[in-house]
Order: sequence, then C-alpha cells, then structure tokens
Amino acid sequence: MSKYVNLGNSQTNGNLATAGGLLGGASGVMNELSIVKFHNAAPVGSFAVNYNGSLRYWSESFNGGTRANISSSFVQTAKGSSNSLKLASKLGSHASLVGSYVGYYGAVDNLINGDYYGAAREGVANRYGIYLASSKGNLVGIGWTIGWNILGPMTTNSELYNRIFFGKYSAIYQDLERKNGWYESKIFKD
Amino acid sequence: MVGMKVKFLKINIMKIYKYIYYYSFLQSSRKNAVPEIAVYSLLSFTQTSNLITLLNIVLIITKIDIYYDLRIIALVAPIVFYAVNYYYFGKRGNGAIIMKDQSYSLGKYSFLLEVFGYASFLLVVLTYYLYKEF
Repeated sequence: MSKYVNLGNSQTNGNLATAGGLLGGASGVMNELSIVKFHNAAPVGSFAVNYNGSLRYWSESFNGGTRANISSSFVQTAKGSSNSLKLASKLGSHASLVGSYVGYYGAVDNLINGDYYGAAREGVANRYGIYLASSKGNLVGIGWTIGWNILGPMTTNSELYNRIFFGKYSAIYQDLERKNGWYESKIFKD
Repeated sequence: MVGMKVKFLKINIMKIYKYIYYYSFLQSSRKNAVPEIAVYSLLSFTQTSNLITLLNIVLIITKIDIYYDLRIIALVAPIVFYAVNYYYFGKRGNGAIIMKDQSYSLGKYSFLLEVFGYASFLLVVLTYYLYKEF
C-alpha cells in the first residue's frame, strides 16, 4: 500500500491489508499454541508426532513392539490432535495467503498510480512474507506482514522519523506536516 | 518456427515451476503441517507476475497503446492460478510424483529459484514502467 504517498483509494487497501494481517496473526498464534499443547500432552519415549503432523509414533510403536503399552484412547487423542493441528495450520496458511493476496494487489495499485519504487518495494516485501510463511512457519510470515503493514507506516509517518531523516524544511516533512497538523505538536517547539 | 519457439518456452517455464514446487515443498514441510498451501500461493503469485510481464512485453513489442487495468489481473489471476495449481499438483497427483523425483533438486543452485521469485515481480514493475513511460 502506499504509505508514503497517499494517492486516492490506497487508504482502503491499507485497511484491508491490516485486517488480513491481523486475522492471519490470530490464526498463526492459535496454530503455534496447538502445537505446544500437543507436544506437552505427549508422553516422552512412548511415541511422538512429527512437527509437520505426520504420525511417526504409529510406525515406531509397531516396529518396537510397544504397541500394547499405548492405550487405544490415547492413540485416538493423538490422531485427533494431529488433525486439529492440520486444521490450524490450514487456517494459518490461508490467512497468510489472504494477506499476500491483498499485499500483491496493493503493490499493483502502486504501479497503476505511477509509484514504481513503491510497487517494487511492496512486491519484494510481499514475496519475502510468503517466503517466511513457507520456510519459518506461518507465525513468522504473518508477523512480518503485520510489521510491514502496521508498524512500518506508523514509524515512517511519525513526526520524529521524518524530522530526523529529512529535516524540518524538506518537502516531504512539510507535506506530512500539512496533512497531520504537526503545527500544534508539542514535541519540537522551536 | 514461431510455434516451436513458444513450445520451447512453455516447457522451460513449466519446468521452473516444478523446480520451485520441489524446493519450496521441502522447505515448507519442515515447518507447516499442511505444506501445500504456502507452495501453491508462492507459485500462483509468481505465475501472475510472469503473466503480467509477458503481457507487457507483448504490448511493448506490438506498440499497442491501450489502458488496461492491472488491478483486475492482480485480483483474478492469483485465484485462477491457485485453482490450476491445486488441480495440477494436488488433485491430479503430479505434486507427489515431483516430490519422489530427486532430479528436481537443484542443490546449491536452489537460490536461483529465490532470485527468480523476486525478479518476477521486479520484471513486472520494469516492463510496466517501460510500457507506460516510453
């Protein structure tokens, strides 16, 4: 989204991306929590479920001959947990996908408005978010999306940031000053 | 001759997508319980970017000056490509065949797939810039 140059309808897209990011964040946290819960519930040494949800304990218990030691109800619980783990991961991945979809649209929106640098920046950041969601888990990817969509613009639109990096008499500072009414600001009273 | 060239290009691009599928599926399955979704989304955004790049190149070469709304492509194409990828790799089982085939592993050259992923969107920006500004 265009955070630096406000061009018409880009505000709507910013809000959409924020909503997508927050939704994704919530699902991602749920996903991670269910993993932690399941690993704590599994007794050490008897069986284990792989991080990606595959049932490793099943084959091990057959090969090791320890099948009798595991009660069938426990196996059922484990299977149920594994399924809910998959469901949570599915939710997280889809939330991440929605965030990327909106982010991609925002990047193209910049392109339409003639902000080529902004489009390239958004596109690369969006691609990096998908990469993180795929390689480091949905939580990290969504964290990046939230950071990029919310914390980034908050910082770069702040008075302090623009004052330090561009100076009081720069065009960008004065433009933001007019938009945000920093005349009344108490931070830098000369 | 032209037909041959198109066929040649098509085969190579499909192969790149298969390499990306293999690489990112392995990467994703380490962390995600359902690794396919991240891979499909990665593929569909890359394919959308490639489609827009091709369209821009065609428009630049033919010098057709039309106003087309990129945003509509950005809204529709990822969904269509997601469905196509889901059908091709998931439903038809081509994904499982690719994952069994070790020859899709690029080893230390896997970073080239990352480069391709980032470059595909940068190419969209570059070609759109060339189309609009010149």
